[in-house]
Amino acid sequence: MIKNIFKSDFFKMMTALSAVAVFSGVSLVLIYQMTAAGIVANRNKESVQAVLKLFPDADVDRLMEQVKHGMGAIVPVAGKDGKALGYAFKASGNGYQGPIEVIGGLNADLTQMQGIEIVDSQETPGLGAEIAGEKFKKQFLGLAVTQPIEYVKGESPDEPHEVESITGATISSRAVVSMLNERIEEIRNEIKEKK
Amino acid sequence: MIKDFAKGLWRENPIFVQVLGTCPTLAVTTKALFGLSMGLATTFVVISSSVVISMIRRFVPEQVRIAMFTVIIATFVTAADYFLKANFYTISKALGPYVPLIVVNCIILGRAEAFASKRPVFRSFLDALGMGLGFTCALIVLGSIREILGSGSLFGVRIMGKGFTDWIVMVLPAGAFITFGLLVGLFNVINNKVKKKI
Repeated sequence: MIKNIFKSDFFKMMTALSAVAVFSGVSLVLIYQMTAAGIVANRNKESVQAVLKLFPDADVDRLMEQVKHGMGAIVPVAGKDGKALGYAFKASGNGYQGPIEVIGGLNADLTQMQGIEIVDSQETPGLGAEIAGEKFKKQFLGLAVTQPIEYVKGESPDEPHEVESITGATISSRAVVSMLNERIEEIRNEIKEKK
Repeated sequence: MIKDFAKGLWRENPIFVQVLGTCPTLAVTTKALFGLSMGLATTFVVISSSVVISMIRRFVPEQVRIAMFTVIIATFVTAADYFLKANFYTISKALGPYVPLIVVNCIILGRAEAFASKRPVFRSFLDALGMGLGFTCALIVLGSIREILGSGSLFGVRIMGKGFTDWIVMVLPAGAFITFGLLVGLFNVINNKVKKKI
C-alpha cells in the first residue's frame, strides 16, 4: 500500500514541484541578499541628486543620512553651515499613463517652491514627458505657494501662483500641479503641528 | 550542432519569423540601448532556464511541466530584474515593468517546451543562445531605427543635423508597429528571394 503511494503519479508530481519551489526559493533569497543593498543605495542616490538640484548648497552627507529610509517623510534641508534652507519632499500621483513621482523643494518659510524634479513618469514622449523638460520645471522655481498652485492653458501665467500647462498634455500638467498642492497642504499642516 | 545555434539568428528568428514576444519588442524599443538591455536580459533568462530545464527534463512529470518551467523561468527573471536594479538603475527604470514581464515572454516558454525539455543540455544551450541573440539583434535594429528617426540619435549620441525635426510618432506605439511591420515584410521579401535562387 505505502509502496504504491511512492510510485504514484501524484507523489512524483508533488516531489517535482516541491523540489522546484525549494530551488527557486533558495535562489531568490541569495539573489535578494546580494542585490538589496545596491538597490536601496541607487534609490537613495537618486533622491539625493534630485534634492541637490533643488538645493545646490545642501549638505550632502546629511542628506544621505536623512533619505536612508526613503523619502516618505519631509526632509528638512540644511546647508553645510547648518543654516536651514527649506524642505524637500516626495509627491506622487497618477499621470496620463501611469504614476508620476516628483521631488519638490519648499523654502524655509513655506511661501515659495525651490523647484521640482521628476523622478519617475511614463508619460507620452514629446507630450506629457515634457513635464521633465526644463521649460516646464523651471516655472516651479520661486512659484508662490501661499495659495494652491493653478495652471493656465496656452498663455503666459500672470499670477505668482500660476504655471503654464504643456500644450497637448493638460492631464500630465494637471497631475503634477494637483499632487504638489495636496502634498504641500499636508506639509504645511505637519510643520504647523510641530511648532 | 551549429544549426541549433544559427537558426535563431535568421531562419527561425523569434521576432521576424516566429513573431513571438512582440509585447516587449514593441514597448521598449524607443531607444537602441533599451533594446540591447532588454535583449540581453531575455537572452540570460532563456539560456539559464533552457539549461536547467534540459538538465532536469527526465524528472519532470508531464502533467506539471508547465508549472515547473514557469517557476524556473520566474526565478531567473527575478534575478535579472534585481541585477539590473542594483547595477544599471537608469536602464532598469526605463524598462519599467517589462523586465518582470519577461516571465510571460512566449519565446522562453516556447524554447523550454519545444526544445530544451526534449534535448541534451549543450544543444539546448546553443538553441537558447541563438534565439536570445536573434531576439537581441531584432530589438537593436528596431530600437536603432526608432531612435534615429524619433530622437535623432543612436545609443544616445546625436547623429542627425540641427535641421532635423524628430519624428515623435516613431517613439510612440504607432511608430513601433510601423517599423515592426515594415521589418517583418522586408524579412519575408529577402527570404523569398533567397528561396527562389535555391
